Amino acid sequence: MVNTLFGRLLIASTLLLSLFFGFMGYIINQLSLDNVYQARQAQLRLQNNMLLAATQIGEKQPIVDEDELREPRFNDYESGVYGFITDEDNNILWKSYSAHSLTFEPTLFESKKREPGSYEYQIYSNYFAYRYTVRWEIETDKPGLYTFTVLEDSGPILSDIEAFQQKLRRWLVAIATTLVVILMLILRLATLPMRRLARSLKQIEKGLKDHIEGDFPIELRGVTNNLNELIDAERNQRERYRNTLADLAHSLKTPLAVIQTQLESKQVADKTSQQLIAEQTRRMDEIIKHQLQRAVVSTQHRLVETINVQQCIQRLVNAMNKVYATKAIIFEQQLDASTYFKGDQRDLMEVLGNLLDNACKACLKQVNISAVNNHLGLLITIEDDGAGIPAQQRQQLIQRGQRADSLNSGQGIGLDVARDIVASYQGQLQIDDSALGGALIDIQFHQDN
Amino acid sequence: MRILIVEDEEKLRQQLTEAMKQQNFATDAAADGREGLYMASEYPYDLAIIDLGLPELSGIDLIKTLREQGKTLPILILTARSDWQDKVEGLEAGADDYVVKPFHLEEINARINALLRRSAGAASAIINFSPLSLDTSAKLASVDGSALTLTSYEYNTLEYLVHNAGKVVSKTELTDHLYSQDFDRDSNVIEVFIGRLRKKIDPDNQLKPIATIRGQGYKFVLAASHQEA
Repeated sequence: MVNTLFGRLLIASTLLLSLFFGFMGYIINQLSLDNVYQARQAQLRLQNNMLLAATQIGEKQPIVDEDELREPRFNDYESGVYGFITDEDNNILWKSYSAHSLTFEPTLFESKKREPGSYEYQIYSNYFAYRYTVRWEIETDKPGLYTFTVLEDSGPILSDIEAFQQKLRRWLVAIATTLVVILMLILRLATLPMRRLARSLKQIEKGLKDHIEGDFPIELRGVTNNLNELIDAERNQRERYRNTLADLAHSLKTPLAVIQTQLESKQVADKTSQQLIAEQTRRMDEIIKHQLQRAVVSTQHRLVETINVQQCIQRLVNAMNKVYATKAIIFEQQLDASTYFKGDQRDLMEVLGNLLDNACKACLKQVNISAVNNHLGLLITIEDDGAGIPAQQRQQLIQRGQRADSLNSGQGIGLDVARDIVASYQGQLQIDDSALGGALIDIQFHQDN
Repeated sequence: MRILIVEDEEKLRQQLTEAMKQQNFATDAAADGREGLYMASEYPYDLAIIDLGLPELSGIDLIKTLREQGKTLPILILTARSDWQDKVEGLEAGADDYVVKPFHLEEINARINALLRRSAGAASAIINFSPLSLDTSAKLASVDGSALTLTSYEYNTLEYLVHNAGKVVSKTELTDHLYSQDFDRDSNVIEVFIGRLRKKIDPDNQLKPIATIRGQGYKFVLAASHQEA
């Protein structure tokens, strides 16, 4: 997932949206809290002023005329709004009826600003507090500082705030999720042509298609056109190599045929020279054959085709039936029509042609061919009822790097070419004894099924 | 037997023609595909050796055209391309066998004899019409095990009649199959060959292997006894 374009975009978008909505949630929360706290402060100041207005200077201390209190909650039992008047030593001189049955922490009345006319607004864990200090001269020449404090239960407000915060969180998460989903849908829609392109390339790799087909957006059209041209160029180049090599073979082999025919048709006095030239001609021919085969074997099998194995084998069996007509060989085939090979048809034809030719040469009457797509790719078995291959020669025959001119003609050359082609597909070729009495050749091609 | 060689390389064409003549085949040669097609269409060849890499008309196209024309003569292809795709394409086009260049003349001779035998319906090189026996590989005829001394034309006449045993073969047909294109033909010579063959095979005139069908030609009348490998 992380390694896909879609996955990366999903992770990046989710992180970005989480950060954005987290930050936005924090700001909204802070602004609304400030708003609530300021509203509480204004409310408490008003209530404090009401308390101040209902207070008169008594003989020894300020006296509150409770009938004059405009805020009825001061007079309601445990209403949540409490009024207090304290002196310089924080002694409570008066408290509202609402606070009568309750105990309060002394710190709630302690004003840090002991200046007349100064006010303080503080938020405690359970209360909002507003304090206002005045200097009143109750006894002559003895002015005293009196603090008017209004407390309000913060519980209901904090509950409201918490409910608001929860709602805010839920909304933000819902919006963020919706946005991520919409973004993903947009991304999927936008990357659809790219995924189609990737799918097409995969199909070309598997040999199910020749070219990238379909209508792609303008931005990708350049890429798809270039890829198609690249595929064509690769195929044309492969064909050109083959034709060049075939022409080379023709140019080299025809003079060789002339030399050989001349040697055989004329009496050459010097027998040793004749043998030497004949031997060297044979070696040259086998080297050309071997090297040309090696050069033609494809080394890149990324852009492959899917080849029907049964059709390929049938064509070869028809050819063998013509070439070995007098032997009247019985070919027994065990494979179904859906068996396939992923690669170059010429490579498969060359491997099977060489091995079937060897089997036809070696057999008495029967050649069995079976092919199956297994978990590794394609397994082909060819066996005959001939004399078989001696165990001590098998390893030498399937060993890589064996030079063609060091092998005997016939079985050796054919196996050598087949082995090289199979190896280029990361496959293996094995020689064994057949139940028919002759040789059994197993070819395992590795391919993605 | 008359053979057509279609090969563009002059030296190789000459060598093959020479080698085929040494094998007592009446041999014609063409240097390109078009000439080969013309000759194969015009003359009754018993076998054709065709190179695949020909100018003008490729070997594959030449073989396909001949087969489309209904020519059933055996065709041996010569190819420098030794990969199976090309061999199979050649065989699918209508060829009967292939030889990869460079080749041994013995291989060419063996393949030609095998193809001629197959086309005549014989499974082995030795054909028996007791007491007459014909070894198509060694080009020898014998009666009761004693080899006959035949000239190449006499042997070729006998072999052609044997390959067409039971069928009436006209003098013209025999001439066409015994002589190459540039040979000065005389149909009276055929009568001479037949007369000599009759004397050599059947000096007592009891076996009577070759019957004269008046106004039509000759017919080999002995029945094949059994064939040896």
